[in-house]
Amino acid sequence: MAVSDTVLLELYRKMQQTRFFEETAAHLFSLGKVHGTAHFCIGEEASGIGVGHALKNEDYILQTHRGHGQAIGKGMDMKRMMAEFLGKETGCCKGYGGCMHIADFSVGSLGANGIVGGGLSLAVGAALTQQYLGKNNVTVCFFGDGATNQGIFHESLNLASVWKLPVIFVCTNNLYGMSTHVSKAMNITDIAVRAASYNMKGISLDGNDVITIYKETLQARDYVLQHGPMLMVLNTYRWMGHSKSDAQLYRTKEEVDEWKNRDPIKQLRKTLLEERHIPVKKIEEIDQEAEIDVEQALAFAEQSPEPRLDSILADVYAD
Amino acid sequence: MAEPIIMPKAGMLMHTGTILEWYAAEGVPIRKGDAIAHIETDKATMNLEAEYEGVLLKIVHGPGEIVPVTRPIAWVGDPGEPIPDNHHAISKTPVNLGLTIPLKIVHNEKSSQENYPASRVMSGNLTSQKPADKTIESSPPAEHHFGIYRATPAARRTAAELDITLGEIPPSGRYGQILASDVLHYVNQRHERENFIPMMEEGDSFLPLTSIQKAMGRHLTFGVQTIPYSSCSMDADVTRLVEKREQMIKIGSKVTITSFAAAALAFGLQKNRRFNSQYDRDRLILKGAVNVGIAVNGPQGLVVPVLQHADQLTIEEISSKTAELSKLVHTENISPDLLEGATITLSNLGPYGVTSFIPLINPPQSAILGVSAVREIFLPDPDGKPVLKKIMSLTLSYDHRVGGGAEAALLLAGIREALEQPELLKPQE
Amino acid sequence: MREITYADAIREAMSEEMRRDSRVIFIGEDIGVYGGAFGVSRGMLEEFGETRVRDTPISEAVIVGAAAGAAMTGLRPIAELMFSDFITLAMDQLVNQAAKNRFQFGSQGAIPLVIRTPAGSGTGAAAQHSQSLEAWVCHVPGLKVVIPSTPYDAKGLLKAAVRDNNPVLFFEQKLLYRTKGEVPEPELSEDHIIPLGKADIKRSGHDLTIISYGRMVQESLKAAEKLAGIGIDTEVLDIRTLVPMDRQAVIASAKKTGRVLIVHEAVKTGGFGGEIVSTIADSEAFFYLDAPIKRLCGLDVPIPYNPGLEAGVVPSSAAIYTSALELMEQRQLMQGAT
Repeated sequence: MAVSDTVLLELYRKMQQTRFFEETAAHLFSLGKVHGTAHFCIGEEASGIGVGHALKNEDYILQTHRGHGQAIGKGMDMKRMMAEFLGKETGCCKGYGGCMHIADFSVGSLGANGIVGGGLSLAVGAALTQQYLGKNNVTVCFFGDGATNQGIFHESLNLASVWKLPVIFVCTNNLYGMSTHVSKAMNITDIAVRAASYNMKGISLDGNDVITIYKETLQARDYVLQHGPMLMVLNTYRWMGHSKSDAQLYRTKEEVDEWKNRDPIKQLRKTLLEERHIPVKKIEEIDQEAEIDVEQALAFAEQSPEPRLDSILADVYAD
Repeated sequence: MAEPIIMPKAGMLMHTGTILEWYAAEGVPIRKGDAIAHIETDKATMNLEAEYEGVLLKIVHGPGEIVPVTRPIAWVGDPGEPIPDNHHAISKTPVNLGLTIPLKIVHNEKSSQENYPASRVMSGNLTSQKPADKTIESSPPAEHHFGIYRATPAARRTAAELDITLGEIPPSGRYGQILASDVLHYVNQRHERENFIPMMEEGDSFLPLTSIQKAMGRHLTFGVQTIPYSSCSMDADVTRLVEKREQMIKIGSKVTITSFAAAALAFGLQKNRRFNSQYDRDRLILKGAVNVGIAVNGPQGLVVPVLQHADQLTIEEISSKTAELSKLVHTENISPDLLEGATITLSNLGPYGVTSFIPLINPPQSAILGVSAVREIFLPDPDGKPVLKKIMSLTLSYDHRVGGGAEAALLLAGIREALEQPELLKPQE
Repeated sequence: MREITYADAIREAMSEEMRRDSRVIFIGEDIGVYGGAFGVSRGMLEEFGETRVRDTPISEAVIVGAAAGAAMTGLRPIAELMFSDFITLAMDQLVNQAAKNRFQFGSQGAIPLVIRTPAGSGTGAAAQHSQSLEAWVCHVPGLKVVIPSTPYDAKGLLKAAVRDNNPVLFFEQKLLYRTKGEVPEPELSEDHIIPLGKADIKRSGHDLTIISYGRMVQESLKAAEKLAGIGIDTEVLDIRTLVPMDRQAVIASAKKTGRVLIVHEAVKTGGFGGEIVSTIADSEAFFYLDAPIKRLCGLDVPIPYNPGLEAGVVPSSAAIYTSALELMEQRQLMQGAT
């Protein structure tokens, strides 16, 4: 299956947007402009973008706390994301959720979850709705390697399998559950083999290869609609610490540098230049546009009003 | 525009007044200066004069009702002139039970009317006696009588609404706490007592009490019921004092024995201030000023005008002020302000030939001095030979919570010292 | 009016709502062929089929989580947890997901979800199958909490819960399942909706208010009957919905009688009764109190197995009667009663 230049350029644009978005967010954090903490996916952009871009608007995703790329991949508006990051009224969650709970139901994002594995069971329910209503749509549930050790991973994959629900379980394996390396957290080397427990298809991919991820997701969409759920493991690496307060004592600089050499954005750029022969000018244009998009998002967020306390009680319950 | 006639504030400490009688009737023209009603403060009665000309359009509060000061009690204006809608919704003060019994208690909220917790008890007992429904709005809990007493919130609220002091009420709760039903039971019983009609036989007749006598009766009943009092007596040798008085009278003074007694009382209190006080739960309020109330038997009953700062007055000043106050009492022109603020009271029954008596404390004061007639008796001198002396009996009734017998005796000794050595009293300047 | 059991009333409510709205589905353990551990859903599989009456693996977490996910995306699931003790296994899905996913996502969407679950002691099921854990979930904004005491209320409240757009915890007390009561005929049931958040005066009185919910309402009514025999006129207020609580009804009844006894089967420490007490103490009703507010609750112990012990650790009508005498300062009668 061939992927068009147009799609590749869009994947490139979204990855660059994610990278700039997070670099800007990290900078804001350093300036003390951001409340709380933040979890960045720099280095992992291919997973969120490659999967998200392959989905339809009516497909659902459930993101993780490290989910900016997943949200941008699914088509979320960076203005409302940045406003949420700054806790503003115009944020996608009105400033109630912050960057750990980015959600936009209108593009099929059912929300990022602060609980490791928190989206797994919700994804089963969302896919149940799709199946029950006879929709031709799927649900993608993102989670990390750490979540595969949660009990809910088992319950969710098992039930999804029993009910043959259209779920793509996407495990972003970045090798560390906070500070704990996968080798200390499980006695299997390939997380995808866990799918076998549920008589489910499991595949393991290079998580920094956005083109492969995109293509495999397109196929997975068709597969789960016909056969029920599958597990897709994307092996990647986060360049930054777990959160902003991570001293990263558990890994070496050499290890981080090695993964930085496998930067998914640089890899795609190389492909675009060398294999697709896209003019460098065109790529630099996209770089600039992505940067401007993020700047505009930041300006929008900074100019937005603070949310008000007086209506907050009315938002706890639906009418 | 109709003008209100208000319950006047006739004294610094006056918060409410009682309407005793309306002289004017609705629809009748009145002139400025006409006496239109007779009202009572807690200390005296007085006529209320019209401040406007016009027709008495509406009487808002009738005889027996207690009204907070400055609230309208009637409206004056041109015939047919409208009066404000809220003319009646005025009082937030609890009704004094002595005059009217508010059996139906109306709160600001609608719901509480039917939810009044003791409604069952009340309908069973009190309403059957058909008292006048003198309901005036009250907002719970307008006034608390928080004291040393254990009482439930409902009991406190009910007592406050009925203007009853918790100390009067026997508790029935298992921790010795007063319950709401105890308050109502007490009210019910008191109501029965007050409505008890003694046997009337052929030849008997009624002698109505003046409002001052009634007020005094309530006040002293409360004092006797709530104060654990005692009394002690001493004789003072007033031989020299009588001589001094006679000398003063010779040069034109009108000084009385009462004035000397008042001065001696102030002198004694200067040395020992303990009984110049009010009892307040677990502490005393020591009064800064020494204001001596002088009991005067006026035409309407016992009235107690006040000698302010008696300790700072000379004997002549005390004498002239006492005479002036007494005259005002007898001519019924005393202003309520002059009846307020006493920190202790003096009662002299000497002029009536009384040789000894136990006076009743006037709450919230903590003591009262009773002075009796000067009499001549032979007493032994140091050699055992009889000497004719002029002797006067002093009796101090005192609140035993404030001080014991020894402290009372100390005060009495100070008073006696001044009476026996009148030169100690503040001299003429 | 006809009489049916509490279990029948619940089944009727579910079935009627499923007939009315195809978005309503029912998921849980052994609810299909088995008919539910207490027989509540007997016959429903036959009527609605496997797509709407869905047996699950023994996986409480995903039952609640999947129900929440389905609710977020347009269905109106009813999930059954076989015993309310098992909410422990689904706490993340309940507390962090179902309760919060509307609010934390900026009030996007709604989570119309009912979690039905049998609660309470009295069946000899011992410590892990007999608890009354309602206070836990009352402490989580975003959840509603209902505990009906009669077949009539069970049906009306459950229909309202299914139509509510929020996660509702619906506790059913096991000992009530077989109790009978008047419930309107099925043809009238469209009107039989009891709004959440409304307490109900099950018996009107002037001397004393007993505030309770669930099975303890029935015990309180028995005690009230006995109290009437000695001239004590007891009001029994059934709180029915713990969240949102009908605070006005609580305050009004406390003001009316001035004496309040709160009864629940759940253990006293941290129990919902404390919330009721503070609602009264913190309101104008305080000034109407003629006695300390009293709580009669389960002892602070796990439910024991032995039948005598099991009955002894939760309130009974006799204990309610004695507590009422205490509140009424009826010391002599109390001695007679114990």
